[in-house]
Order: sequence, then C-alpha cells, then structure tokens
Amino acid sequence: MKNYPYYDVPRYETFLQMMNVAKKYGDKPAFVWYDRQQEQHTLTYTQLCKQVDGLKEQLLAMGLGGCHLAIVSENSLEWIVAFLGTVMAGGIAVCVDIEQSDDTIRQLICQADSDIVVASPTFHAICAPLLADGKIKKLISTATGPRAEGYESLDDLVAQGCALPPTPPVPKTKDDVAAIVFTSGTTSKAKPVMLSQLNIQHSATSTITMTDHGYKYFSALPFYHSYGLSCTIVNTIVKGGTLTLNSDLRTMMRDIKLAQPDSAVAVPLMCEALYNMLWMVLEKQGKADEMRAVLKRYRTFSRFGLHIGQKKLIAAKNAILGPIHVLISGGAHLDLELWQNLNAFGIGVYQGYGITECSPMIATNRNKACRLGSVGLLVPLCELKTVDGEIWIKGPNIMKGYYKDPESTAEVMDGDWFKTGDLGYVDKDGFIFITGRIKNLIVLKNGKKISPEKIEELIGHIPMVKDVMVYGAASGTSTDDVKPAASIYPDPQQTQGMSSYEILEHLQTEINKINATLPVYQQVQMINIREKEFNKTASKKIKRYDL
Amino acid sequence: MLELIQQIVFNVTGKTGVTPETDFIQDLELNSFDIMNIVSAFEDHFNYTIPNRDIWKMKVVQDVIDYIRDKGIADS
Repeated sequence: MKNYPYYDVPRYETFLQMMNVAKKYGDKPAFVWYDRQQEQHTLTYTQLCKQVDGLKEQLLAMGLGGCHLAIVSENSLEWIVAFLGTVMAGGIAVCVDIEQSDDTIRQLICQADSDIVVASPTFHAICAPLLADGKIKKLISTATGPRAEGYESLDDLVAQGCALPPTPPVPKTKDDVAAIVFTSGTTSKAKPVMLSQLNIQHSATSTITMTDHGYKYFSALPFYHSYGLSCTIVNTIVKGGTLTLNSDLRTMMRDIKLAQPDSAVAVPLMCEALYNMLWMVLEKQGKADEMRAVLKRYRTFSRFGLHIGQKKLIAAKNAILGPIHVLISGGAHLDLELWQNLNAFGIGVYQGYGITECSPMIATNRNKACRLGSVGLLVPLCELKTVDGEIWIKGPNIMKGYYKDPESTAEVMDGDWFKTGDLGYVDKDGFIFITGRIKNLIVLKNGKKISPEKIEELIGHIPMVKDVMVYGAASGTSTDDVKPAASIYPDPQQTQGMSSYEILEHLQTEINKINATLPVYQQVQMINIREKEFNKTASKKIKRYDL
Repeated sequence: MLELIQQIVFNVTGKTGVTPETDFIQDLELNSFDIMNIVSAFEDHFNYTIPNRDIWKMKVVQDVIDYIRDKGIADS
C-alpha cells in the first residue's frame, strides 16, 4: 500500500490569512450546536467573522491587545469567538482544562500569566477569587442576562467592538505564539505549551490534506486540548466546512443524529460508543442476530477481498447513525477488532498520532492508505527519526517551548528535534507503529492520560506506605481498557501487628481522601498490597516493568 | 430512591446488585458514557438538570441519594 497525493486544501501560516478567506464563505454555517431542548444554534461565517472582529476591536480599545486571555468554559460558540478574537487582537489564548480541580484551574490561569478570564457560569465562582485578589484584571462571562451573574458578558464586549470603527489588522508572524495549551508532564505540574500561529495552522491543514472527511463534521472533543483546537475548530474554518460541536456526552448520540455529519473527530471511547449505539438499536429492532451473522460472513470473506453482505451492513448503519462514514481517531490506541468492525459497517476509521507539543498532529492514516495497527503516515513538511527506538520529530508542528520553563523545554528538544518519549518504528511503506513509551503515562481509552508519578507522590505521603507504584490495570475485556491502580509495599514498622485486611482498609480510607482531590479519571480504582519490596534500579527508582 | 437507582442502572447497563455503598466506577466499572446515560435517565425522571461538575462528585450510590435529598429534587 503506497502513499498518494495530498488532498488540495488551503494552507495558511497565520490566523489573519485564514480569517480573511473565511469572510468569503458568507452565510454558510460554520459552527452548529444543539441545546438541551434540541434547538439548533448556528454561527455562519459572516457572523463568526463579525463577532471575532468585534471582540478584537473591543480588546484593543480596552488596551488589552496582546493580552493573555484564559478561556474557562465548556465547548461553545463563545469559546470559539473568545479564542479567535484574542488571537486577532494580537493576544495569546490560554486554553484551560476545565476537568481539573478548582485549585488547579486557578493555578493554570495564573501559571500562564492570564490578564483576563472568559468563563462560563459553571466557573464564575471558581475564577472569582482571582479577580478579588487582583491576579486577573477582568472576569467576563460567556452568558448573558441573569446567567452572567453581574459579570460583563462576552456578547456585550463583542457588541461594543462592532460599534467601533475598524482598525488595521494586528501584524503577527507565523512564529508568534497564539495559544497556551496545558499538557500532563511526568512531574507533578501541568506544562504550559506555547503553540505558534503556524503550529496550529499546520496541524489543522494536516488533518484535511491527508484525509478526506467531507464538509460536515462532528466533535465532542474538548476545545482546550490541542487535538480539539487544531483538528476541529481551526481545520473546519480552513476548509470552509461546518462543525457541529457537542459539550455534553449526555447528548452526543442525539446530536450526531440531528447533525447527520459526514465524519467525526473522536477518541477510541467515542468510536466504541457509536458502535455500541448501533448494536443497541439493532437489538431493539430485533435485527441483532441477523446482522451479527452478516458481519461474521463479511469478516470471513473480506480477508479474500470479497465484500459479501457489506451493502446490508452499510444500510443498517445509515438507518441508525446517518451518513457518517469517517472517524478520525486519536488520543489513545484503537482496538483492532473495533476498527475492523466499524470498517465493515462502512465507517472508515483513520487512527492518528499526536502530542500536544506537536500541535498535535504527527501522523495519520489516510482514506486510501490505511494500515491496521499503525498510527499512519507522517504529516507533510515534517521529518521523523528514531534514536535508540524513541521517535523524534522535526517540523512546523513543533511547539515554541514550555512557557517560562526553558529547563523543561531543553529536556525534550535536541536542536530542532522534539523527543516524543514514545518508542516505535517506521515500516517500508512509511507507516508508523508505536510500540511503547519511555514516559510512564497511563493512557485511558477516552484519550485522557495520567502521570503516575503525580499520584505516587500523593500516596507516598501516607505514613504506612513505604513504596508505591501507580499503573494502568486491565479493566473490561479489551487490552486498551485500563484503570488507575496502585501497588503498595507497606512500611513494615508502621504496619507491625496489623492484618492484611486492616492494612488494606486503612489504605483505602486514605486513598479515598486523595481521590477526592483528583479529577475522576485520575482516581485510583484498585489497590493491591505487595509482600516484598519492589525491584529497583541503581538510582533507587522502581523498575516499573520488572515486578 | 434506592430502587429507582437500581432500576435505572439496570436499564442502562444491565448491571444488578447495586447498594448504597456501590462505587459507580470501581464496583460497576462504568465508563464516562455509561455514567452520562444514567445521569440522563435521572434527569428525565426528575425533570432536573445536573451540572457536570456535580456529577463527578458523586462516587457511590449514597452520594446520589444524598444529592437528590439535599437539592430537594422531587419526582416529576
């Protein structure tokens, strides 16, 4: 299987170039979302550009051009306007992970030297102390009316800006930082990654030049991650497509049915949810047994290049899920069985590979060049090499560094080369395979990543814990399904005279307290007690793979 | 209330044996979609919207019972 020419799409180096062209898409819908009452809200390209320009003018008029503006909100049309308006005003958008604890959210806002915060009502109370303490200059609400709870609303800022005479574009180069996005590092603090105008544009273009996924997209990915930012918001505008955004898993399936997209940008958990939804409906229709037989026959004969029964499978998929025929999957490893079954139902699944520090696109499978088990082909204009098995990347997708942290930046860079921390190889056709991680990150099926060291540090403070190792324990039937678990060697002196049950009970109580301070996905779900010490290296570090 | 929770969990996930001490993630091994589907069922039953950040604070079944009581949420 060989690579083939890239799809012809626009290629921009700056957001100004992109927004100038976006104006020409006129009344075509750019972004759509459905509220809890299923009412559709649409932002056309004309409206998007007007609101972005309005916010830009108002920020400049307030002397906040070039500011750091933190966005603390669920996915929304306001999130998009806040981001683009900030960048067009010459500022830096700080994309805050809203699943973190209240204290961490405030810490991220301050770590990026945010001047202003734009927050949804859920986060007003969390961000308000920063305003009270003078750590931020303004707190703007994404809501209007009573829901804005007395804070100035983004809508008002936009309206005020639209009434101002337009000013010339703020000149920015392709290497100027446009956004700060946070990633989990291998230490206890999240790292603020500086992404330039070109970084984000390059990733956005990479997705649509390598895969054809139509013009109607759907995504439930959080915008505050580089994957959601570059590969849903920005690539939509670059291509002049329409994105239906979702901010609530409760309505994801409903929204897919309403939006009838061509494709979805997803993580493996979402791919699985779609697949399960298909079967749930087939069961209710009494057609599940029949379709299972058709699927089995298809899978058997497809090995010989015969597609027997696929028309029936695709018809069933169309009736239940609509015209969606492409899934871009990233953030975690995709189960091969699921991949093949979705293909059988006429949904092409294109697994990709990315890292926040690479904006995030590094590689992706393509419509006509797709290799099961691989993460695809390298994105345009980039280079890859392996050093002692580790994948290193060079190209326009590499971040400008960690904000105010040159030491951490130096650890991951070697000249222009970024060290991914992932082990892998490239086959003779250029397909990249990931075989392991130098980093110890636990990767969950929903794309979330956990730094075990951070949780180990917390558990290590429990007096009866001598040593602890946090790892991903198997959960469910798939090897990709893992849950955070802690293996603990109790301190013999602290636990003298205690039974195993008593030790476990005490540890569970202490770990429950720690879990209460962590986001749900980081909470330890299983504890096991070791009877002997961990094997350690010469520098006294636990040998994670030698238990 | 416990019977309602047991019914909803069974309808959404097919899982039984739910008690007030049952942990949704550790004991029932539910993922984020399962939890959201259960929450949706609750919201439909009570005609009440539960904010996402409140959802993630409810670890065990008793937390749900306490939440519904503390918020004064009544059957619709």
